[in-house]
Amino acid sequence: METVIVANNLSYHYAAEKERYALQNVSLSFLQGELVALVGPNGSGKTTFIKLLTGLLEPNEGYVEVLGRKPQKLKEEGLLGTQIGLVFQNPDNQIVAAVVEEDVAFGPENLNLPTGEIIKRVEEALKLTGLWELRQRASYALSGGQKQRLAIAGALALRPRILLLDEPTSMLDPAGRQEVLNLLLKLNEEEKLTIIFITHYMEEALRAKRLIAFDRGRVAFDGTPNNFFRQKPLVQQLGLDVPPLYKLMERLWKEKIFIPDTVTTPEMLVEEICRLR
Amino acid sequence: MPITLNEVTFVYNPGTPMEVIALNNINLNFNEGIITGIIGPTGSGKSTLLMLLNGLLTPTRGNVVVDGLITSKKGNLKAIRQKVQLIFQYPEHQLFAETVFDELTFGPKNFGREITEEQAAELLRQVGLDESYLKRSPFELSGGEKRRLAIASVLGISPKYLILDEPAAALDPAGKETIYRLLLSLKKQGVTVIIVSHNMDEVAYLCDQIVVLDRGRIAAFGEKIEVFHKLMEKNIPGLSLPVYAQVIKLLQSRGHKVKMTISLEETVGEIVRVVRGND
Repeated sequence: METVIVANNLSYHYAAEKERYALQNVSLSFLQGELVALVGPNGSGKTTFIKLLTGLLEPNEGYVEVLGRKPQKLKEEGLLGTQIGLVFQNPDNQIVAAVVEEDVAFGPENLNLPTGEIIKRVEEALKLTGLWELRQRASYALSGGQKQRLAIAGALALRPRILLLDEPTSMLDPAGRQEVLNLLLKLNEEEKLTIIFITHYMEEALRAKRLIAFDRGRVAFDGTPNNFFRQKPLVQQLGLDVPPLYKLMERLWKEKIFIPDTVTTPEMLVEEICRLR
Repeated sequence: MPITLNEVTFVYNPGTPMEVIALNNINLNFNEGIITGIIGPTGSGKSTLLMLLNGLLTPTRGNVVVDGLITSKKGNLKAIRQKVQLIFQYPEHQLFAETVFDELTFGPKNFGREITEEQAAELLRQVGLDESYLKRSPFELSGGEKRRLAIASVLGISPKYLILDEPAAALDPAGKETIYRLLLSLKKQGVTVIIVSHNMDEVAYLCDQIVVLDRGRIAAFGEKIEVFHKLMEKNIPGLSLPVYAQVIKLLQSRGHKVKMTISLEETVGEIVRVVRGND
């Protein structure tokens, strides 16, 4: 599998806090098609890390390569969005046009693509995000979940190979959260998009294939979500919680009911219970 | 006397083409000394209901009574607001003072109460901060600390009823936990707490009583476990059950006779019975 992002020995401190590193000696790499959750308490360096990957910040030490190139270089050439799509917490801050399809067209238009190509990409992005039926709607009139999917559609219209999302669900209601999470799982599964997302919801982190936990600017864990939640002291030290579904599985193991630890949803759990019977 | 809503209807922009019936003929009793959760999909009327409780809005029809005082009477408002404090979502956006101490004394001053440094320190302790914070700027605190300061600044008014819109939203798990501990300890001190929340597991954990709103009407109201029972039968779009109730519901739909529960231990017990064929 191709390596799409390399972060080598990254350190960064914000100008106002010289003595405190926001990120310290972080080395991580990501393969094509990975689905990664970044977790950790507030101020642990998650967002700084994402900003370094996208060239919004420049590291004090170490370097980043996205598909073999420096993010700053890509940014200068106006090509960063074609490699990495970036989505933030608040969808309202990312929507630029009054009509759904115009908002999605904004990115491709800025690439000076021919009109036919723009139309094709807008249609593709709207269909992938399930917004095709709503393409003529006013963007402000969408629900929270729909707005966030619109922000994702805008990023997808540039056909990036990587999608980075900073707490994409934290301002949404449960229905909206589910919509966005399902979309991410689908884009990863069907389009083989590399997806890295920050979340405070451990049940969302449980759905990722790889979990990276940050603690005071360093990587405290890198592995599968289930392996992470098994390490109670570490989870506690980071002030994170074990998702209810994982707690249930743990209790079942104690009762000698062996549910495979690949289970990540209530549906999968019930499937396994019925199989054991 | 608790807070009572009698046949309350609230209409935004009545008589215009933009008319929206936000709440329709609501009867409710918020009992004292417990935590009540208000849940419902976006647009179901939760925020309107909150604003009716302290007289920020007054009903189009019917009335809201707080300890015998009708909110529609202008002369009652000051007394009502002292009893009922409303904390909006992201209250940390409303911090404004230069120091934490100034922030804490501002609210009570408006109700004619002076807060001493000692009392301010005590308010901070209640929310898990200490007196070393008093001289700091509110703006250099972390997100979770700001949220707790905003809540402490309201506690200085000694409200009898504390109403919070999504008090734990967007906090990390440790931050959420401090808010939960605070609400549970306020309940112990006799404060009546009402929260709006989207997080079902949070409501299942914190609340004694639950109101479910759906398109301006009450879809369910009562003790937590009864309400979750009802929600398992009624499917309200935009509302999800707590995880353990979801597991139980899925088992039931497969024909297993399992008992509805939202507790971990009872869910384990039910699953053990199913796996061993004792259901």
